[in-house]
Amino acid sequence: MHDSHDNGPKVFGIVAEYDDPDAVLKAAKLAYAEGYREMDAYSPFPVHGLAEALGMHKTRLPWFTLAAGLTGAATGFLLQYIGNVWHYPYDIGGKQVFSWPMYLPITFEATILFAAFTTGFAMIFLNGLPMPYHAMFNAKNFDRATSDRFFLCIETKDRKFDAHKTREFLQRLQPKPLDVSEVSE
Amino acid sequence: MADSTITKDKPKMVNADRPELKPIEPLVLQPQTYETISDTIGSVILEKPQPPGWWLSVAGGFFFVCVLGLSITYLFVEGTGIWGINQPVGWGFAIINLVWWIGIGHAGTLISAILLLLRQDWRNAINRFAEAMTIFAVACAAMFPLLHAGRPWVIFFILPYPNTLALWPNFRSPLAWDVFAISTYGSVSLLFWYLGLIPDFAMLRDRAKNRAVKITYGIISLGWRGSAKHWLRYEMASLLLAGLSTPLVVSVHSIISFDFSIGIVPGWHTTIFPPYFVAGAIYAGFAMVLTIMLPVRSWYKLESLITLNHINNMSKLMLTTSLIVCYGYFSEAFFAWYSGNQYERFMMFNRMTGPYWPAYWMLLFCNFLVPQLLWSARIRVSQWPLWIITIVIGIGMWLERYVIVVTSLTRDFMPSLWGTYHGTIWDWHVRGHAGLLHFLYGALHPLPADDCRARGASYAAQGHGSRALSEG
Amino acid sequence: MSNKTTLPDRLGLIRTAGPVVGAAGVAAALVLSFAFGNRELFFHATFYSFWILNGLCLGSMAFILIHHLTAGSWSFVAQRVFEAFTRTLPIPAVMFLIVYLGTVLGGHHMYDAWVHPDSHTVKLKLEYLNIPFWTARAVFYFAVWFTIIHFFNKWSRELETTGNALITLKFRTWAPFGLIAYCLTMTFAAVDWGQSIEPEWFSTMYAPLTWISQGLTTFAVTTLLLAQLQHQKPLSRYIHVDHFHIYGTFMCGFIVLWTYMSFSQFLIIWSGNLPEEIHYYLDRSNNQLYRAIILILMLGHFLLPFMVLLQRRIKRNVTTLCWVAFWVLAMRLVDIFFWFVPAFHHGDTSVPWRDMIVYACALVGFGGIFFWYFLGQLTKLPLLALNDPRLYEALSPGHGHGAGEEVADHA
Repeated sequence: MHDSHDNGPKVFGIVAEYDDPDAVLKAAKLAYAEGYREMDAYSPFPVHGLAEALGMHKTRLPWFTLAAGLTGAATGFLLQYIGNVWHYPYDIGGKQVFSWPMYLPITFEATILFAAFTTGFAMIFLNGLPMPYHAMFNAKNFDRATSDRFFLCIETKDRKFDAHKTREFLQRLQPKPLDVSEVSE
Repeated sequence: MADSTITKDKPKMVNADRPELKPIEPLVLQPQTYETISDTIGSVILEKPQPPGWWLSVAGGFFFVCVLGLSITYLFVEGTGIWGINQPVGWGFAIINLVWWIGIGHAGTLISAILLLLRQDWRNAINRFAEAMTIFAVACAAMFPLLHAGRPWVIFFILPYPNTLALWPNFRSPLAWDVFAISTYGSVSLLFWYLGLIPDFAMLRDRAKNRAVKITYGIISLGWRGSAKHWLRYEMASLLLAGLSTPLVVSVHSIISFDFSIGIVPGWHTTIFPPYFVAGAIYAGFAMVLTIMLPVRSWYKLESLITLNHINNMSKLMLTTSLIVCYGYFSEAFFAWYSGNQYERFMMFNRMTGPYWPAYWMLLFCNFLVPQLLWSARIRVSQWPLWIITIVIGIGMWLERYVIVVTSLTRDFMPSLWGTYHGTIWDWHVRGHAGLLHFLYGALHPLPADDCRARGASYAAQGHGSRALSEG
Repeated sequence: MSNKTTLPDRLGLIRTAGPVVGAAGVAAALVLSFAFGNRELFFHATFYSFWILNGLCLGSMAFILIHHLTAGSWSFVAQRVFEAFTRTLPIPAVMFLIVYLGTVLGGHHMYDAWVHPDSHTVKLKLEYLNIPFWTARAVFYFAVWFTIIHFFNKWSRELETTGNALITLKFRTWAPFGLIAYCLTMTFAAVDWGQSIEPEWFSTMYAPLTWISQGLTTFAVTTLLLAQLQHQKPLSRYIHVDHFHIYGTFMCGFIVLWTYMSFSQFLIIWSGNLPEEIHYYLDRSNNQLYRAIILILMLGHFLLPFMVLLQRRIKRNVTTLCWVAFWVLAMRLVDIFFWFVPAFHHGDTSVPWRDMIVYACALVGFGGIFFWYFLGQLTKLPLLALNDPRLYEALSPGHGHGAGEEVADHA
C-alpha cells in the first residue's frame, strides 16, 4: 500500500463509495469537520447541500451572466442606433429616426442571447470541462457514479492527507461506506 | 422546522380522510429506485428494439418529409407564385405556419424553464420530450420566412452586416425584430437542451457496452463526472438559464404578435395581442407535447415515469390556457363592437359571417368548446379522448392564425383593395412537413427520454425528507 | 385555542386612529376641493382612492379563489388577510356610491364625454354607454362580487367552526367559476368605470392590466401586513422566511408583467398612431409632471424594484422586503394617478399641483376608514385555517418552498 507512492502509478486520492445520497452528504460533512479540504463528491444527480458540505458555498456564475447581459443590451441597442440613426438615417413610414421604444425588442433579445450563452459556456469552463480524462474515472465502480452510486474522494494534495490515516478515517465513517479504495492518477 | 410544531395545533377534523379529498397518485410510482429508473431510461436508448408504432411514425414522417422536399424544390424552381398568395394577401400559409410552429416550441421551453423555477417536480418526466420538440418546432418555423422570402440564397440580407450599399435592416419594423427573436430563441433552446443532456450523456457513456458508442457519448458529455462542485455550478446555470428563457419565450411570441399588432390593419391592431399570443402558444404547445408524449409513453412503457398525474396536470394547464385564449377571442369581439370604429366593427362582423366564417366558427369549436371537456377529471386522464382533444386543439390554433391573417388582409380599409385567398395544393404540401417534426424526432430519439434528475424526484417522492434531490 | 385574533401594537394603533384620520382626511379633501372652487375634485379624488382600495378587495378575492384552486403553502399564510380584505368590500362600495351620486347623478362630471357626447364615434357607443345600462351593470358587478365573497367567507367560517373537511370540496368546485366571473366582471367594470372616462379610446389590454395591477397592489400590502402579523399565533408557528421570499418573487413577477403589458400597450398604440388611440398617450405627456411620472414609472415601477427583487438576500430579509413593498405600493399610487388624472383634465396642459393635495387627503381619509374596517374583520378568525386538511398537505415534504432549508433571517 505505502510503496505505491514510490514506484507504482501516482495516487490521486482515496474514495469511499455509497449507495445513498444522505450517507455521502453526512460523510462529506464529517470529512470537512475532520479538517480535509481537497476533496470532492460525485453523484448521479445534484444532492442538495453536498457542495456546501465540501466547503464550496458560492459560484461566480451569476456575475458572468450579469456582465454578459449588460454587454448584450448595449450591443443590441447600439447596433440599431448606429445602423438607423447614425450611419444611414432613413425616413420610413414617417416614424421618427430615433424611435427608441422600437429598439427595445432587439435590445432585449440581444441581452438574453449574450447572457444565456455566456452562462452556459462559463459553467462549462469554470467546471474545467471538457476534460475527457480524469483520475476519478479509474475509481472502482465509478461507471455507476452516473446512475446509482455516490462517491467521496479525499485527494492526495490535501495537506492532511495520509495514505494510511485517511483510508482508516473513511473506513470508520458512520454511515459505513460500501467500499473504500485507492485511485491512481 | 415548522411542521413539527404545527402538528401540535392540529385540531380534530371531521371527514379529513375521505377518499374524495385525496390526491390521485404520487409523481413517480413507488417501486422505482435510481437504478431501475436509469434502466428504464437507458434501455430505451441502448437496448430495446424500437416498437412498431415508432416505425410507423417514422415511416409516415419520412413520407411527408419527401413531399416537403419535393414541394420545396418545385418552389425554388418556380418561385412563390405556386402558392396562393396574392395582393392583398401577401402573407399566407407561410406566416400562419411560422406562428403555429413557434408557438408549439414555446411549450417545450416553458415546461423546462417555468416549471423549474416553480420547482414543480412533475416537470422532470416531460421536459426532455418538450425541449427536443422545441428545437424541431423552431427549425420548422424558421424554414418559413426563408421559403417565403422567395430568394433564399440572399436571405442574409435580413441580417445587419456592413455592406457596400451601406444599408441596414429597418429596425423600426417588427419583421426585423423577428430575425433576432427567432434566431436567439433557436440557439438558446439548443443550448438549454444540450446542457440538460450533459449528465445524461455521461450516464449513457458509462452504461454503453460498445466502444464506439462509449467514445461518442464520452465526447459529447465533455467528460462530465458528477462532481458536487460541478453540480453546484450546473444547477446555478440551469436556474439562470431558466430565468432567462422564461422572458425569452414571452418576448419571442410577443414579437411575433407585434408583426401583426404594430400595423394598423383592423383585426391585427389590438393591444391584447402579445399576452394573448403567448397564451395561445403555450396552449398549442402543451397540446403538441401530449400528442407526441401519449403514444411514446405507451410504446416505450414509460407509464411509471410519466404518470397519470403528470398528464392530469398538463391537461389542467391546457384548460387554463384555453380559457385565456378564449378570453382573447371574447375581448377582440367585444372591443371591436365597443370601439364604435366602423372598420373594427366590420372586421368582426366579417369574421363571423363573411366568406371565411367556417374557419372562425371551427376555431371556436376547436379552441373553446372541445377543451371544455377537460373539466372532467375522467377525460383528463383517459388517453384516447385526450389524444384526440390535443389534435383538435392543434387544428384550432392553426385556424386561429388563419382567421387572423386571412380575414384581415382580404378585407382591408378600402373595398377596392379587397380580395380572396385560398391555399393551393403546394401550400398544403409544404404544410405537410408536420412529418418533418415526427421524422426528426423519431430519428434522433436515441437520446435520454428523461432527465436524470427525475431520479432525484423519485427519491424525494419516497419520502426521504427534504427536497434535497429534486430541482435546485 | 381562542377564536379571535389580537392585533399587534402597530396595527392596533392604525385601527384606533383609522376613524379619526379617516374623517379628517375626507373632510379635508371635501373642504379643499370647495376652497379650490372645484366641486368635482372631491369626486375625482374619491374615485382615485376607490380604484385603489377596490383593487385591494378584488385582488384579494382573486387570490382567495386561486388559493382554493392550488392550496399552496404561500397562500395559506395570507388566506385570512385576503379574506378580511374581501369582507372590506362594503367600504369601496360606499365610495363608489359617493362617486355615483356626485357625478353620474350630479349633472356633469368625469363621464361627461359620453353622457353628453359630441363626437360621432362616441355617439355610436351609446347603446353600451348610457346611464341606465351603466348603472344596472355596476349593480350587477357588485352583486357578483358580494355573492362570491359571501360564500367563500361563509364556508371558511364553517370550516373553522365545524372542522368538516368536506367543505374544502365546495371551495375546489366553485373556485374556478368564481375566478372566471372575476375576470369577466372586472373586464367590464374596468371599461365602464375607467376606460369610458375617455370614451373614444379603447384598449383590449386594459382589463388584463387592471388584474395585474390589483394583484401587485395586493401582494405589496399583504407583504407589509404579514410582516406585522408574523408573530401572532397560530400564524407564527407556520410562517417562515420562505414565505416572504415567495412573496418577493411574486412581486417581482407581477412587476415584470405590469411592465410587459404597459409597454406592449404603449408600443402598439404609439406605433399605430391612430387619432382615436394616440390621444391617450398625448394627454399623458403634455406637461412636466406627466413626463416626470413616465420617467418615474419606468425607473421606479420597473427597473429599481425589479433589480432589487432579483436578489435573494433582499427577499429573505423581512425588513428590506418591507421597504421594497412600501416602494412598490407608492409606485402603484403614482401609476393609478397616471391612469386617471390626465383623463380628468382631458387636454388641459396645466400641472394639477393643487389637486394632488386633495388626492392625498382623500386617499389618507378613505384609506383610514378602509383599514379600520379591515383590521376589525381581520380579528374575527384565527390567522390560519387550521381545519383545512390541505394545509398539512401543503406542509408535507416536497410541497413546501424549500421549507426548513434555512433558519429565518429575521428572527
